[in-house]
Amino acid sequence: MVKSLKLFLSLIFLSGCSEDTLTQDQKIELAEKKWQVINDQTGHEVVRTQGSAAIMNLLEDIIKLNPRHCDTLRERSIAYLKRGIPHKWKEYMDQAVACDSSRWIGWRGYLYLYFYRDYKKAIADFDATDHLTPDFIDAPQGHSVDYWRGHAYLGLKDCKNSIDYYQKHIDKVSQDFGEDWVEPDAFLNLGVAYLESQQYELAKEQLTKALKYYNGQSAETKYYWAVYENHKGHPDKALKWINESIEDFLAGYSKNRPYNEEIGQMYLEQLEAFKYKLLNKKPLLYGGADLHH
Amino acid sequence: MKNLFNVFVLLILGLLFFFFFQNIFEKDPLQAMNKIHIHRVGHMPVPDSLANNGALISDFYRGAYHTYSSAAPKIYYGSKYQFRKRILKKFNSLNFTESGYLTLRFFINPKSEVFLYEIIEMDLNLQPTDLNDELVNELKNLSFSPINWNPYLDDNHNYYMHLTYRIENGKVTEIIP
Repeated sequence: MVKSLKLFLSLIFLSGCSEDTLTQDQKIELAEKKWQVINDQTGHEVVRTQGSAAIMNLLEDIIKLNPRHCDTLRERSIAYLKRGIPHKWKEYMDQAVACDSSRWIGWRGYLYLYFYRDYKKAIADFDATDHLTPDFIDAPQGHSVDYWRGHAYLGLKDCKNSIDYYQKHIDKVSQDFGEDWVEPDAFLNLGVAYLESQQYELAKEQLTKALKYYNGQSAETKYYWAVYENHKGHPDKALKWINESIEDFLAGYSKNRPYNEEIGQMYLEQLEAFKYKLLNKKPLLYGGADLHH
Repeated sequence: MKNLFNVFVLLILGLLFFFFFQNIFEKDPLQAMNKIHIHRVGHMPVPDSLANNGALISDFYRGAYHTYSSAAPKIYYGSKYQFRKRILKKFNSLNFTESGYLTLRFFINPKSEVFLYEIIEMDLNLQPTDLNDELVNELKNLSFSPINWNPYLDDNHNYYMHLTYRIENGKVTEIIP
């Protein structure tokens, strides 16, 4: 009785030890279970705020149990990205990319583009996806890397490459699904790239398409229409466009996004400044901010 | 008496069994095994040097709205367009030659004042580095000026905000987010 009691107690003691006693398979299984819990929106009464201590500790658990859980490595970086702690985001995101390059390198490129405006690094990552996944075009954040490269080259003011990538993207989507599936701002930005490289008639063609697919309401597209008409020596037409642009802006038909600015995001001040330029008047002072000086 | 002892031992064993095996097989996956993170990501404590500053402590314990940059765009006085214009106009880029990222994380009180902040200095690869102190101070002072900020709620709210300047050859080329 005493002997078996000792044996039994020692068994319980051993199995009661920490996760260090788990087999490799059990660790991976437990890691996956924790990952499911973090992603499962039902069944547990816990605040799943990204970046909370509870969630971050769970992510650390998963990484300890399964250091190759690449989705967790990436998830760990995101709170740092959004909360403005770039060096920690970089450290953790690089780990995710090292863990699963073909899955995360395009995403890192997208984040370089929007969160750090590092157009060259973004392009390098988008280019890498061409080699890592040659059979298909990656689409981090739901848009193809060709579309994103159009943005990035526009940011670098490299109009030629920007035009080439937007056109490639538009051709591909048009061929696969039809032109009306293309993001309207691909046409708009292609138009801007043509305007910036003084190819006005090509710009006009794209701005026409952009406005069509924006259903006739887009502050930015109308602003660039005004720029086009002004260049053609039609200030009256330009003024009509800029007035409509301001109307659209005030009605909410302009580009913006959470967390950070759109690339080429426009502000009311810019639209009005152009209007006053057309009218040969001095722009208004805004919001009292300039009155402090 | 012996029977009673056996029952007692079995009872203890049963309890131990229940306790340990519940731990193993029904371990709540939501209970983290470690406590690496005591605070949320981005928590900014009041430094000891300011712990006797009553006004700051009073601001601090009012709590703050937002953990991301989502106080923007409303938090800008006027707009980010005006903010950018003001910074670029006043920042004297001729004084500097270096490149990197400068991140300011800060809390704004209802009087538009920045009462607690953290500065992160990085190179263009987002690696921590030491940027020119004058450059950092100039951008910090320009950014924290109350004329930039619009506390859009009532007098009982602070706001979290962060800004990252991309600096190339002494020139501010991007103001993020």
